[in-house]
Amino acid sequence: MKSEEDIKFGALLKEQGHQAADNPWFTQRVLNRLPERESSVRWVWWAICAVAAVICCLCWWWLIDSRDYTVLTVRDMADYAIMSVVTLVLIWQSISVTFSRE
Amino acid sequence: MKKLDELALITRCVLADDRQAFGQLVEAYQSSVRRFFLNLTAGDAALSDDLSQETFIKAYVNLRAFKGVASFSTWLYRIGYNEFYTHCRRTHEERLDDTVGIVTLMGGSNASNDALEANLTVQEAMSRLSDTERAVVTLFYIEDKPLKQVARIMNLPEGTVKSHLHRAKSRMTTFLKNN
Repeated sequence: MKSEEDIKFGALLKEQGHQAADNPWFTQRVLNRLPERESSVRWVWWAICAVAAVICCLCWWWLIDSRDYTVLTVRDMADYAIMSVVTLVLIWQSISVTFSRE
Repeated sequence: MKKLDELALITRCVLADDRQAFGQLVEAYQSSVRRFFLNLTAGDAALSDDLSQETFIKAYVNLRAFKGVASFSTWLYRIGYNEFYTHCRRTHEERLDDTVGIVTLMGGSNASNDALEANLTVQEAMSRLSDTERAVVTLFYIEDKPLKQVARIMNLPEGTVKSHLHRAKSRMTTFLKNN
């Protein structure tokens, strides 16, 4: 709790002390100097890619293990093609998330 | 700025690296932080702006460490005071002599203006205080921070802050009476 004397003394200092006029460029200058920082979104996306990679490996294992290799059907070729595309997309996403700068 | 709005902006900065949200925080506090440094540096505008910028950048980098126990402004002033303290230690400059010289020069060239002269007298009285005393006076009287918060910002016991405040006030009063 300030005394009456303190309040008067404070008012004098506020009135006659140094004043900082609003500087419209100050905020922009600070924002321009902010360092890059990894956001949480990037880490969430990286975790999703990691989980998807594990699922992808399991799918490949199931696909190879469950097929009869004496007969190659159109269905088999379609499954391999789809899995290849999914794997390539996943690898591309993992690389871009790991090496990209925000 | 309301505390809830402030917390919402901080959350946006921490979770989504939202720089516009941080810009709003800078906008809200820039005047008071720059005035704080202007008083600490005895009117050195360029140095005040540099220290203010460093303070906000440090606040942004360490925003995740802000727990919300103290208010954001108290946390910000604490970073600012540490920045000033580090600057003083780094430069080892004799600011007291320099600033008194500057203020005297400015006073001499504008002696006809009474208001300006009064301002300069108060500013000169401030510049004669030690760094710690000036910081205590600035936080308590100009920034209107309660003693408890001043102690927290400066990392000093409340009793020490009180004695700095008492000493600073009596030195300033004596100087102002004599001038």
